[in-house]
Amino acid sequence: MELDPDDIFKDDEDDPDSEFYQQRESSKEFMVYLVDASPKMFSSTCPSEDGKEETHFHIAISCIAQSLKTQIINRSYDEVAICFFNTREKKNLQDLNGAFVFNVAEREYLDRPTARLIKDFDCIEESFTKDIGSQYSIVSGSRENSLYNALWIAQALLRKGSAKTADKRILLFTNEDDPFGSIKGVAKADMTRTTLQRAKDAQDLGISIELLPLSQPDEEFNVSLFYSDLIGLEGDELAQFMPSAGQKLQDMKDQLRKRMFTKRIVRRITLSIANGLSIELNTYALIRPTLPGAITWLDSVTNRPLKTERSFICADTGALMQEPAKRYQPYKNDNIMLSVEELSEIKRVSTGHLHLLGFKPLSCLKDYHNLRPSTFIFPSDKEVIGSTCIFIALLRSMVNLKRFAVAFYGSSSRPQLVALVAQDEIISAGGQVEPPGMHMIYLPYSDDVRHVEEIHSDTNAGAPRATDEQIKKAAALIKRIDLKDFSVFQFANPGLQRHYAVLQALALDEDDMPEINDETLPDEEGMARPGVVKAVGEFKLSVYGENYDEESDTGNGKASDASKKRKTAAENAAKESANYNWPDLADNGQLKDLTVTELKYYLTAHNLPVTGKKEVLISRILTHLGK
Amino acid sequence: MARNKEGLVLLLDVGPTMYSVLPEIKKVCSMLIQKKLIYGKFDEVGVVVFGTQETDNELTKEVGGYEHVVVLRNIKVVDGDLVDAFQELPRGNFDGDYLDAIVVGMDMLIKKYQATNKGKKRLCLITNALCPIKDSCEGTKEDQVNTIAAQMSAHGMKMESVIVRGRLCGGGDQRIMAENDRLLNLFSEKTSARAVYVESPTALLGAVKTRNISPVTIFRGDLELGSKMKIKVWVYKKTSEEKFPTLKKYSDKAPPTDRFATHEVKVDYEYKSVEDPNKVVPPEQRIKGYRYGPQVVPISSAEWDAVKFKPEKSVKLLGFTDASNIMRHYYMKDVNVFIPEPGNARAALAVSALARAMKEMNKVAILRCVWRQGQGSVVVGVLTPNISEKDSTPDSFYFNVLPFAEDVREFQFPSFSSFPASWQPNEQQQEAADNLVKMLDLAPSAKQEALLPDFTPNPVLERFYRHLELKSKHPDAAVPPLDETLKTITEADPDLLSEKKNVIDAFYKSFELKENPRLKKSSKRLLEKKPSGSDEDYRDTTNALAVKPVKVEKIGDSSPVQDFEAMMSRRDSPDWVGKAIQDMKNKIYSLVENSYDGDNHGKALECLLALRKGCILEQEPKQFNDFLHHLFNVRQEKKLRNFCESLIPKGLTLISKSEAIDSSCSWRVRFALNLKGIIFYIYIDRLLLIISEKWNCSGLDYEYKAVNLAKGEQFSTEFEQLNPLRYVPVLVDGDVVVSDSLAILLYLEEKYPQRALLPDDPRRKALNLQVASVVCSSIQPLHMLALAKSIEEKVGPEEGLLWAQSSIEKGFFALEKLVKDFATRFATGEALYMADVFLAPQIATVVMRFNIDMSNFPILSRVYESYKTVPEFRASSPEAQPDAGS
Repeated sequence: MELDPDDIFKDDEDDPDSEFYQQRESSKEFMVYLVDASPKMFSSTCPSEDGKEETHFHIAISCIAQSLKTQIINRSYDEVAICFFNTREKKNLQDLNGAFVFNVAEREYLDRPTARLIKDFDCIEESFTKDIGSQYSIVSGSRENSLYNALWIAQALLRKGSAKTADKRILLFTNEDDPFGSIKGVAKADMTRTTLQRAKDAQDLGISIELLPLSQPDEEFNVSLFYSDLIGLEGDELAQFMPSAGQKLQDMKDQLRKRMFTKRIVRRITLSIANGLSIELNTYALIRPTLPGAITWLDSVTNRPLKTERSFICADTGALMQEPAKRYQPYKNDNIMLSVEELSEIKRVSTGHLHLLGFKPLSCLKDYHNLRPSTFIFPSDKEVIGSTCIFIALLRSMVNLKRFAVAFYGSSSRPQLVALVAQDEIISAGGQVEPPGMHMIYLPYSDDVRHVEEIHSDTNAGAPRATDEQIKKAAALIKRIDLKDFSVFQFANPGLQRHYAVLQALALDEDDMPEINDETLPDEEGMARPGVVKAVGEFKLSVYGENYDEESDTGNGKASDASKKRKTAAENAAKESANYNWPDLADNGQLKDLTVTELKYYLTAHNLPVTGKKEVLISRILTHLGK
Repeated sequence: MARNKEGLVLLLDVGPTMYSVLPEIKKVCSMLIQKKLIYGKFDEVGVVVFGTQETDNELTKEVGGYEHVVVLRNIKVVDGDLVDAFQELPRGNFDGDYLDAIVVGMDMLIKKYQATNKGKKRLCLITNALCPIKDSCEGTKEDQVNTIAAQMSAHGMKMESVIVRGRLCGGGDQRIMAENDRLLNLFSEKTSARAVYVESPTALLGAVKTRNISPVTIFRGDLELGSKMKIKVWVYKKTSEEKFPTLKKYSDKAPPTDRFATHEVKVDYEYKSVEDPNKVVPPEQRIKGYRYGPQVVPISSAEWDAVKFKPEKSVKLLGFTDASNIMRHYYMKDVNVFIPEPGNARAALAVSALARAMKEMNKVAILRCVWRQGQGSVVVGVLTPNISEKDSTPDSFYFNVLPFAEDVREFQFPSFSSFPASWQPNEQQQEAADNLVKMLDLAPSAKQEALLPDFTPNPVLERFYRHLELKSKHPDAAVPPLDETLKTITEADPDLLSEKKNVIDAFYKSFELKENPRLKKSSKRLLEKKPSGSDEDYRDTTNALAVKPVKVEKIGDSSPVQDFEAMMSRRDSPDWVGKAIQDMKNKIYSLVENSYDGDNHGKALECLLALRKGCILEQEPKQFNDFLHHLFNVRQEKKLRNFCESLIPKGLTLISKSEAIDSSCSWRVRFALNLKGIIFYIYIDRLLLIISEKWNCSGLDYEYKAVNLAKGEQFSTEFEQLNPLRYVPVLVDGDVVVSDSLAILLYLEEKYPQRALLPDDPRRKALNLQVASVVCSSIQPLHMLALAKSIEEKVGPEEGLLWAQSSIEKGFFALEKLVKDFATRFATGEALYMADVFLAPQIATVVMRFNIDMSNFPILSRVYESYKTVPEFRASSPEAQPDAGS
């Protein structure tokens, strides 16, 4: 069975052509990591999470490595450069001393991260002393200023691209809070001044400089000695800085691999209210299923990308043809021809905009009135001045009166009724949780709703209803297993995270597959708490009674015919399968002499998939036999 | 297929009180049959009407009674005639007895199928149930219904009743209506029957299930509440989009005489190597790759199978939370329903207890679901209670998928409070909005909720099936307009609007909307409705005022560029142009002279740019070129070096000029280069064009050298080597050498994607290439000088021109036809594309040399006029090229 990883994640209802799901990256980030490589970075240590001592240098390196691995998935179009300073060797375009730009083949200094870069950077600590070397070069007597050089190099690297389209940042890792400490007098003042000026120049060019200070266990990094001036901290910011920096370092390591999207208007539409009164709106996709990236087909021999060519062949004559403009639908023993234009004309039942039809109380919006992810709408005054005012007025009325609007959305792909649900802004300490605006919820038509609840109605006896006592027990249970701070998107998609992890492991030739923590599994520990167990037990007793065996009681069997059939088939297969000596057949290469039905006995008996061609079946059997 | 066929009997009330809804009944029944013709070709349908004057059914013959019930059609396989049959639905003039009709329908089903076809027998009753049913001698009406319902269950029949009420049926006897309602509901209780009430024609269209889809479970198994307790559930889809049918592609290749032709089109995919397009890679040699940064990582299916995420099939409870924690807009997909395992009373009890407790406490449950083994992904979603209102139906849950952290995009939006005060509604406006939201009510308490999704048909599908039916009769039928009844879905109900007119008017008056005046006129407008004519006029006059020419007589200090342009455009005397150029030169010179540390350079550059443009427009290239030379000559002594170096990146190069022999080939290449904004240089008779990035950075020195070189012999020989044919242009870009204008243009398009010359739309792209090809191969070669000359020699002195003229005219007629549906401002639309790059020089050359009467080609003449206004085109004309000879 050929499994397409894309299929696994694909939503059946996804229409890949629909512009809804198209995404585009636009604005970029350029980042230069400046890592202090002075001997002090190697001699100072901190206890790590598992109790071992780690050097500051190691912390910085692993932080960057983690960050690169996340970035290559999340924002692979961003460009990075890594530059060490206080080094013995030098490598940089300006040929400045004491600074070494780390890079790998097929890559510019400031460029998109590559697997090679990540891989080589992962083992940089081993070769560091040999290839780059650590040497603190800001010493009295020499005019060298490696920090100045590093800033200069970073600024030069970031000259690429315009500040309008790219976000430019320098991230500085150091544990030296007083870089010019060993120098005295005029020389010190001079160096301090030039370095600060260099930093200011960079900031003037739209480059932001961020500091990630590493503190000694016994002595905290003193920002006010020098760096507060460099990064421009004042007053309260100064006091806040150290705790927030520690958090930042942690955040860099713990980032979720999540493809980032830039805010983009999906479509500009109008909402026509009545009497030709139309307001202007922008729609945004705030929630869309994230899929693993697109598949590129490769030639397995050369690993070069392939391009797909589509050709149309007439089934009657075998002639190669252009993409036909006509479609047909068999109907009443005839083929009815429809042109593509006709089809789109049929779908054009309304303009591509929203038409307000009226309002209903929120209770009319049932839980099953849903088909697709909602779309967010926010007003705009760009073309029609006054739109925002009307929108806000309507939104407030709808929130206060607990009503939603019903509108018709005449999109070209599927014109349909939508519910516009007003949402007030919700702000928490961390920022905006819910933006203010309306959510457009796509409503089903009558043919999209199925009356499945009624299929199994029991007309003779009436359906069992819980008694108050049973409901009370259920309520007690619900109180016990309460997720207090549940937030809708607190879980990472384990399938997707696994995909990214596998991709990384393969790209970097990592030996073992990283384990992904599946956050979606229930909290077994919590479930085993005596209070919970007791509540479950009581509820169970009240609805199931005593001596109830869940496994054996499988309904009245009316509808389990299919499963019974399946069961008999499996038993039969197991019986048949026992008639063959599979390992023998496999060893002698006689599997291919068996029929497909015979091969399927084995597969069914061992609960393996039975799809595919004969060769596939054989190879599956061989794999299962461990040959 | 055949064993799944459904047997359906439609029981239609056609009594006098039903007249008003008969059109809708016709529509919905036709739709039902039409869908069956496509999706259930083997289904069998019978039609019974009641309330007729006549009586025609088997029961009346056999046992008597059952009057005013007519079997319009016995149960047989659906066909086109049935669709037509509904068009002539009889109108009865008796009060129909629906119970009689039900019995007749049952009798038909029993006679046709006996005990077979269990569960696939269906009765569909449409009535207003306004008329009383007859009393019977065999007990009360309730008893009768009970007996019939028992029979129905025994034969495995289902019944669906659509009861038309509200404003659709006018008034009726409340007592009779109540009795009938009770009786019909008794059916629902006693057998698998469903009764729905509709109050609008739209709802009637939506209430009848026109397509039967047998539901399939997506999961059967345990809902695990921890490890200690399990509830057996079945999971179905509750909503699922009914898609627009996917139509097959039609092939017209088979000869019309071939009656067995399938007309199908097979779509074949081939994977080819990017480097070698002739190499087809067999499917087994393909491997999937995923992007990892700039690289693509290959992963074979086997590898992927071994390492991918493999959760166990299970549905586990994670916990409960407040319903308010889950906002409605987080629901991701279509909805599932969890029903307790059928026949398992304990499971039903457990679900019922949980659902009711959740409802009372306003809680929802969060679940983690893996529907089937080997699924590869998990789903986290929310379970909400669905308390059943019908005694026979068990309580159940709805399940909605929730997003994962990766699926949420945290875009920030401004708070409304941060908007300016003019954007905030005032109290009076807020009140108007409140009233609108309150009064434009689709679910008033007295009436049935309008546009209930469960009763709203899909207007697009309705239109499609109607169109299909029309086409089956008249193959040329046009797409019908949207059905009037269905317009209440796509547009606001006019009745509601007129009823609430004062509220809407008040709302309208409270707010003011106007178009943003700062927007350019050309930008695409969202508003369908243009503002009233007076506004438009007003703006036009203001614009006219703004640009009213002030007669400029000299170039001032504040806005030299504008002054210069104004002077250049003065048409009252020819001397103004010369004066403007001279003044501008002086201005630039003084700006540069008096510049301290480059502070005036920016302004000077602007002026120089304007001067260059003006000189090109007025065809005074020498004026500009001489001035530029002069500037360079003085730069050594006057520290103007910086200034001069900044000229090149701004495109301030010499204006070039040359005479053309047959120049449209290289002209079009220059045109394309100009359009794309590529800096290039021309060697030798405009035929050798060189692109070099070096010139962008290294200043003018290099260029001067190049010009000098161009005069030398060595370049001529080199040119000959590059281009043995000599009469086509050659493009040199780094170490790439391309000759032939079409090849060059295609190369440029690939290498320099900026300002694309080929549109993305394949149709327009093809059109552009066609135009290019027609010009290249069918027009231009035929009027080459060499050819004309040889014709003149062989045929006669006049023949050369005639031959050229006729071949050009032939070509132009073809072009005219080709672009007729696309040409607006330019040949293929509003923007310049490759077709224009070819057409413009072609027309220009031909007009100059062959004396062609362009009035025969209105479209080409029109677009040619547009070309003349394009600066890039003018700058690429032979007249504007550097004089290679001087």
